[in-house]
Amino acid sequence: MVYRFLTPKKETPLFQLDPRIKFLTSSIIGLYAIFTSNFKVLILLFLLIFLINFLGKLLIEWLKMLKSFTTLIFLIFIVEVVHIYLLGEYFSLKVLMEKPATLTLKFIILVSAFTFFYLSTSPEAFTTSIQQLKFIPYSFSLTLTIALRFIPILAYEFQEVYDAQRSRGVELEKGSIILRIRKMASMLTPLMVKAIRKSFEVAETLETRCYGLKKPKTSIYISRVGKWDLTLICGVILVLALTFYV
Amino acid sequence: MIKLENVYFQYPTGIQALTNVNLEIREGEVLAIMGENGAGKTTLIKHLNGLLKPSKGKILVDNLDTRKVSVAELSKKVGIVFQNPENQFFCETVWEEVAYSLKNFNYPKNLIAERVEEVLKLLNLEKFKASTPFKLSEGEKRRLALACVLAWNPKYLALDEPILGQDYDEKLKLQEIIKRVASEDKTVIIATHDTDFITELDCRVVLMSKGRIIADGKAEDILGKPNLLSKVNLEEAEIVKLFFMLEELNLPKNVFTVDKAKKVLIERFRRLRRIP
Repeated sequence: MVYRFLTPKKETPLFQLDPRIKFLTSSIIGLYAIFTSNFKVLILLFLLIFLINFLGKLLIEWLKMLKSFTTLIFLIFIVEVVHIYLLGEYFSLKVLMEKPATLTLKFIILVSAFTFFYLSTSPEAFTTSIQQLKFIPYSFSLTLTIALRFIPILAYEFQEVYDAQRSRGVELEKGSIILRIRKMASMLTPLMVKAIRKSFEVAETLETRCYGLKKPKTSIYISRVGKWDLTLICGVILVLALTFYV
Repeated sequence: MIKLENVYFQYPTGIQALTNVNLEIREGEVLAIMGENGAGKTTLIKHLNGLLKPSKGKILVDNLDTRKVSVAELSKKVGIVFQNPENQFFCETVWEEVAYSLKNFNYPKNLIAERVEEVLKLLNLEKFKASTPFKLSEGEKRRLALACVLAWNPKYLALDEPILGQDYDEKLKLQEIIKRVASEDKTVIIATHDTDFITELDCRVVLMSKGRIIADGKAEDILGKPNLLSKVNLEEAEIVKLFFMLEELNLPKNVFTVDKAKKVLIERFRRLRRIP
């Protein structure tokens, strides 16, 4: 999510879509990947994610995100291959490769399913649309909104604290794990103090701005489901329907 | 000496923060880096101890290339006091907070105790040594942040917006401290907007705008030029404004400090025989 805050908005229909539809699409793809173990279906889902990211001009960002998982992806594959080999289920190369490949692809799809959602959605747009869902109490959606809005601020403050501590000779990368954990206290304490102080400030600001005076609250921006949203959801349903014939 | 040679820096977000910056910071001088918000003052300061590495060009701190030396090693030479002092506090007491950096730099225990006591006394924080840093006032916090840096006695001291949120009394104290540190032949680098604060220090001034250095010279040469200051959204110091307003009385325009203003005015009154 933090990555999104650093990704500039692009002029593609994906960035204009209703965040709820994007979230729904991501959830459907993710859930479908969890429940299926069909390699061909997973390939289809992978291609679907690829297509959405391609159309949203997010391919580079998506690949960067995947790159950060490279070690884990290899680890999953190797561990599964070793596991099958040790269990003696190794009858042919196909058997040895199929299950690890399926599991690895499943993992890739799971971590990728939400990429286009969080790379193309600002937290404000997402939370505004969540607030318009009548069944979610406003206090809950507001908490979520504030939490999301604070992520970039905390990320920035983390950097500030990190710089301040490095300037005092703290070298987080050096020493044993125990020493590194102890050094982390120098990072976490100022961050927590700042976060708590900020939460009090936000509460006071909300009160001074008459939070809770008028119920239900009106919104300036209203998210609406448009033709592109319907196109995306129909396209995904179509692809998922196709998977039944694979 | 700190030498910046054709330094360029671009943040990952694409913002070009420094463009072709060339600067020599000499030993023992007080240097003020001034400019509008977003001019690149903080970015420049963060380059001095290697927190940021130049995208192009190089920075030499006593002939050490900041691209090749660790931040910890450079920090021994260049101590930075950040805008927000709370960013660094995490110890239970003020005493421990000051001692923490010294422990990081592997100072012997007896020297740590000696240095901590010394800087707490210097910055008038002795009475708070058993208190938590978070309960100090803003001015005290800033002095504590300064104490944490002064404890390891860096050769170069960089202060980022040191007077932000400080009352008049705290400003005066800080001026005194800076003068005292400078008198020990240390280099002090100050990034600030406050022309009044800088005029009283009577130091070298570097004006920055949009990541570039647009002027470099003595405070009286730079801060006495309203046109130049308006380019970087800075206001002239009150004393400078006053002497510009009194132009018709034929008073000299190069008056920057209250002390000098006092001397000039007394001299003028004497001439008019108002004062015996």
